[in-house]
Amino acid sequence: MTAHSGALITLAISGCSDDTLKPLRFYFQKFASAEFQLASADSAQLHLIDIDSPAGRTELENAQRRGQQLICLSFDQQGPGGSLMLSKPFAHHKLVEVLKQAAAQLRRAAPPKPQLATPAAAVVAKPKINWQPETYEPANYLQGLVAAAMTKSSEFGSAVSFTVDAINFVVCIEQNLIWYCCKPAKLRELASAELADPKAAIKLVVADTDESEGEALDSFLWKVSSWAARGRVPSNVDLNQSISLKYWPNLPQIMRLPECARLCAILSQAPRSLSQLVEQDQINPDCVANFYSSASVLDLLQLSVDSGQQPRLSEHRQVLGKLLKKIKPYTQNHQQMH
Amino acid sequence: MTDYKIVITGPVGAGKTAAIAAICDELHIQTDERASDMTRAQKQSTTVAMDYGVLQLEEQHKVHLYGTPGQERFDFMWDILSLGGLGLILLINNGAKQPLQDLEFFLEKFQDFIRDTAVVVGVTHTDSHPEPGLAKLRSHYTQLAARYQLPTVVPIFAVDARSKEQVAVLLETLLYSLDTDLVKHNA
Ligand SMILES: Nc1nc2c(ncn2[C@@H]2O[C@H](COP(=O)(O)OP(=O)(O)OP(=O)(O)O)[C@@H](O)[C@H]2O)c(=O)[nH]1
Ligand SMILES: [Mg+2]
Repeated sequence: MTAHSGALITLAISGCSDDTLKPLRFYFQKFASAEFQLASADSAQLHLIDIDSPAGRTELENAQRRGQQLICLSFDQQGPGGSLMLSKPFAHHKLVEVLKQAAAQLRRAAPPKPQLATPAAAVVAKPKINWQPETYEPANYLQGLVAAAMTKSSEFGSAVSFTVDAINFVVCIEQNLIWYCCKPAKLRELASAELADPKAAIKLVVADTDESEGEALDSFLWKVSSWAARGRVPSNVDLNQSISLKYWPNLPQIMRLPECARLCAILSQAPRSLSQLVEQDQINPDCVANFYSSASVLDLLQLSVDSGQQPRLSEHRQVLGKLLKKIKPYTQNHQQMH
Repeated sequence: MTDYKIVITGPVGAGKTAAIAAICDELHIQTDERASDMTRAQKQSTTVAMDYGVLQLEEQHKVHLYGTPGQERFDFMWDILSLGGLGLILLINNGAKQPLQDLEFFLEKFQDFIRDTAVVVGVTHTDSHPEPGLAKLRSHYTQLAARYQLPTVVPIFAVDARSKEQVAVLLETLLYSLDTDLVKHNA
């Protein structure tokens, strides 16, 4: 049996227990439905069979008789001659890998015939990008002043200070600390409002660091940047550029941003564009925008090439979800953004 | 009604006992009885030598948290302990003599488990000991990841193991690292 490039490959699954079938179908839908289509055992080009089960062994003989391309699922490392193997327990990336190999083998057997290709509608199309967030200019906000102060502090090799709205800020890059005296609500108000005259407000003077305890610059910048963003993205951002995570922000000790742990997990495992995070991963656009603003200020992101890699999913989703539900309230005491 | 487990490991004094005590519903913790000499340790049963706590979930599901005994002489237990585990929390004591070497030692020991599951690294005692700190540990991890073929980017956090909130964030991060679609399907 052969396949033409462009057409969906038909795939049958046999001999699996319910426990195996569920994740298989789920991963299949999620990662392979653009290239494969489920079909009955006797008509499919490709047959995935759990050969450890009695039903599977019978089906294996039938499939061999039909000349179907085989993927054998087993605890053994080797299947019947020439067939592709998927060892148990399998991870989704292994399934994707073996499906790719099978597709390549089927396609090698059938050179492409474009005129026979399945109508375009049969191929799952990616959703259209229509997220168009508002933009803002970080340099015109408190976060821009802090960034400028950090540069000066590093140039002078000393602490520096500046004043906004009669509030004095002292920044020391060497100690990685910032000192200021104002209530959280006032700070949030300052951080989220565009400065009337951002250039005039920058008055850097060499200053002594305060004796009192300062706040870590990273955690300060993290929160003021998300407050400035308010669901907007910095004006120079390309929404379709793939990015990935260089380092995780120090989540246990910074202000919690909704969806942040999930965004970091995705971006640490597979490059994504901001649009994909919204459209494909269905993450709240405001959360994506606020996270991006904070993470880029801390230099935690890098441009990346989308290799088609998928972030991971677990077969233990049910219990992981229950555990998440259990511990969520414990994490809520953390400073909240909303 | 299935039981699952998460493993917490790290060197002596990293905060394993503290972390389990901070977050678990039921505790079966043994700290004071820790053997100070080899002979006594060998007389104790394995369960005595490790920390253990339970997180009780809905529908009678349970997640067990196992803290491996920190002393290296118990390392024969680590493979058995991690068998079938969902994931690993590795605590590194920033105030210890050689935190970078500790990181290396535990990543090497648990490399198979990490490749099969996921790891979150919590660096403790950064409040009292700022050095080597996150930046050095992160860049050391990058080298080790290449050597042991571990994921290139894993969460490495500064954390206070005595804080329930902060330990909960470690756990939350581990859960999302294991399944990035968790919320969507649990909403
Ligand atoms: N200052 C400070 N103390 C901490 C921190 N985390 C844990 N501790 C304390 O450090 C001490 C050692 O922590 P334990 O939880 O006993 O360490 P452990 O990993 O169980 O050590 P072993 O059982 O000897 O392997 C305890 O007194 C904790 O309360 C931290 O981040 N900062
Ligand atoms: Mg202990």
